[in-house]
Amino acid sequence: MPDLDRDIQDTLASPSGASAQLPLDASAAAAVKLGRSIVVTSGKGGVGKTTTTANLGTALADAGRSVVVVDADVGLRNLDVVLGLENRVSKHLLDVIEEKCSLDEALVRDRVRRNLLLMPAAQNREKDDVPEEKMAQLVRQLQERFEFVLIDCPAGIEQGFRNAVVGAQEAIIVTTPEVSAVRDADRVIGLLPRAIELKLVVNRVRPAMVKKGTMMSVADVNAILRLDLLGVVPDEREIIIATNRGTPVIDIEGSETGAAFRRIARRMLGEEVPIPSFEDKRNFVTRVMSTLGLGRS
Amino acid sequence: MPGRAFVITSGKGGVGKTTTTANVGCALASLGKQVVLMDADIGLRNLDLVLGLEKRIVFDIVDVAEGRCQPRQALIRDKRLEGLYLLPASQTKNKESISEDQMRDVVRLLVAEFDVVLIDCPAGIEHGFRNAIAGADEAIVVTTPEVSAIRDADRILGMLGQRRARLIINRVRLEMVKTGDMLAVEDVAEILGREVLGVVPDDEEIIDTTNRGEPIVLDPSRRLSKTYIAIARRLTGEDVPLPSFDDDGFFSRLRRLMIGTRSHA
Amino acid sequence: MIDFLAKFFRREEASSSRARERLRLVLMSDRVSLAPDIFDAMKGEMLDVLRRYLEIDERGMDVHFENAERQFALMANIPVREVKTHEAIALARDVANRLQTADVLESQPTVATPPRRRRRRRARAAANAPLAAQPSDEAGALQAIDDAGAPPPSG
Repeated sequence: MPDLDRDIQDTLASPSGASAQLPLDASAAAAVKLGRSIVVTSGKGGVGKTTTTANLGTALADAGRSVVVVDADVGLRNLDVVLGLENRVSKHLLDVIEEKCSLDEALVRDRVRRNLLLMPAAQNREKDDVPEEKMAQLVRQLQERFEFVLIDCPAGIEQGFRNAVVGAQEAIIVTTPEVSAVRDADRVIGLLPRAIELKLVVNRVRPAMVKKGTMMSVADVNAILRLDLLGVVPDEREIIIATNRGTPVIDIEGSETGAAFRRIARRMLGEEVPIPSFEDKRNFVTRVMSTLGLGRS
Repeated sequence: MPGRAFVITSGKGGVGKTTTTANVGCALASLGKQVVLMDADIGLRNLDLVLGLEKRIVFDIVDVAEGRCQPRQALIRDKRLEGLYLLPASQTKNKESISEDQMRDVVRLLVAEFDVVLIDCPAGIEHGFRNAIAGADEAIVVTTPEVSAIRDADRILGMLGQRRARLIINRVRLEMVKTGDMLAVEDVAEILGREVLGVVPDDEEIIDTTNRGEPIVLDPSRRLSKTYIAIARRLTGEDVPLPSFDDDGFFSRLRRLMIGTRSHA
Repeated sequence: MIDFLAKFFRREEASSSRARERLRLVLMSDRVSLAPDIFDAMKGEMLDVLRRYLEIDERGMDVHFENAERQFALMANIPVREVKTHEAIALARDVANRLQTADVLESQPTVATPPRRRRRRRARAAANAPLAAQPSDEAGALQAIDDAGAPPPSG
C-alpha cells in the first residue's frame, strides 16, 4: 500500500468533529491510519457532482492512491452508470448497512483501475431507510481501507444530503456560474457542520460567454461564496460523449475538462498547480492574426 | 370548470424543470390563460429567481398551508404578463414543513380560480417530490438526451401512478445527434415509452435570461420563445406538430408519423 | 483476434448507440428491482405452470434476473425430482382447461347463476372427466384435482 501523504497525516493529527462522534477507542483511532472522507455536494442538481466524483476518483487512482467512490443517491443512483459499471452492480450500500452482505461483496472494482472501487447505492429503496449513524460507521470502515473516500451527494438538502454529509471530514462544493446554482451552493454551505473543510469547484464554465458578459466569471461566483477555490472546469461536448460510453472524461484524448479534473486531483494531493485563466482559444488566434495584419482586430 | 394542475418533474436535477415551468407558464399566460406557477422546492427555491420576482416575496406556500395568510395574499402578480402569478416556496423552512394533504388543499383552492397550475417539483424522490405530485392530475416529465437523465426519468415515470405523463426533451443538440454523439428524440421517446409534449433545443441564451430573471418567452423574437408557445398550445389541447429537425423532407414526415402514433401510455 | 476486432469496432461505434444499448439494459434491471412484488407474482405463475408437468424441489431452486455485460436474462435453476406420468400430466392439463372454461362461463354476465350451483357444476364436470387412475366417487375426483393442481406440502 502506498505511503499516505502529508495531508492525511495532518488529518489524523487533528481529528475533525465528525470522527470524534464515532464509537472508536481513542488509542485504536490513533493506531489506525485513516483515509480522507470527502463529500461532493452542491444543493442544485445537475451541476456535475457525479461527474466530478467519478473523474476525481479516477484521477486519484491514476496517481496511485487507493480510492472508493460512494454513491449516496439512494433510489436515483448514477455513479455506476457514469463509470460504466452498471452491469457489475449486485449488492449495495444498504445491504452492507443491514448486514445482508459484507463490504467486499458490495464493492465493485473498476474495469481499468484496480485501485478504484465503487460502493453502489440501492435503487429500490428510500433515502429515509438509511440511518445516519450507520452511514457514518460505514464511511469510517471505508476510511480504514482506502486513502480516499469520495461520497457523491444527491441533489437537495433532505435526508439524502444529510446522510451523505454525516461521515465526511471535507467537502467539495460544486457549482456552475448560474444564479440558481450559486444560490443553492450558498444555502448548502450554511447547512454543513462547521468542522468540515470546504473547497469550491466551479463547473461548466464557458469562457466565450464569460467574455461576452452573458455568464458570471469565477471571480463573480467566489465573491458570493468566498471559499478556497479548488478548481475550474470548462464545459465541453465531450462530457456527453463520455457518459454515453460510460467512460470518465479524463480518458478522452484532448479533453480540456479531463485535464481540469486531473489538475484538481493533483491539488488534492498537495501539489501547487495554478488555475489556468481559460482564455478563449479563438481570441488567441485572433490576436495572432491581427498582429500579422489579418482578419478583424 | 376547474383548472388543471400539472407537476413538472424529472428525477434528475438540473435538466430544466424550473426554466420549463417559468417559460411554459409565461407562454400559457400570453395565450390568455390565468396561470399560477407554484414553487414546491421548499428550502431551495429558484422559480422566483428565474422569473425575476425574488424581491417581491412576502408570503410563501408554507404560510398559506399553515393558515397565516390567504392564498391570494401570497400570490405575486407578474407585471409583465397579464394572468401570470407566482406562489413562492419558503427558503428557510424544509420540505417536512408541509404535508401532502396540505399541498393537495392548496392546489384545489387554486384550480378553482385559475385555468392552469404548474407545480415546479424539486429534484429527487424524497418528501419534496411526493409533496409536489400530491396535488397534480397530470405530469410533465422533463429530461435531456443523456443516460443519467433518462434513467432517472424512467424511475419517476414509475412513481406517478395513474397520472397522464408526457415528455419534454430539453437541451437537444442537433449537430451532436447528426454525428451520433447524442441520442435522438425518437430514441428517448421510445426508451421511455411516452408521448412527447415538446422538444427544446440547447440554447445558451437560456443561461443569460435566467441570470437576468427574464423568461425567454417574454421576447417573441427569440427562437426558443416559439418552442415554448407550441408546448403551451399542445397543453391546451391544440394539435401542433412537433418540429422536424431534418433537412430531408421524407425523414421529417416519417418522424412526425412515428411520434404521432405513439400515443400516451 | 476476434476479440481485438470486436473491441476495435466497438470503439468506432457511435457513442449514442452505445448509450442506447446501455440504457436498455440498465432500465430492465432498474424496473425489475423496483417492482419486486410484481416479479414475485410472475415467478409464482411460472411455477404453477411447471408444476403441472414436473415435481420440482422448491427449496433447491434459484430463479433470478442476471445483468451480464450485453445481456439481461432470467436465470432459472430448478431441480426436478420427478417428471409426472403421462396420465398425471393429461389430468393436470385437463383440469386446468376445465377450470379456465368454468371461469369463462362464470364471468359471462348473461348467465346469472347463484355461486353454490356453480361450484357443484364445476365439481361434477371434473368428476366426469376421463381419468386414468380414476376414483369412482365425486369426492375422490375432487381429491385428484387437488393432488394435480396444489403445490406440494412444504416440509
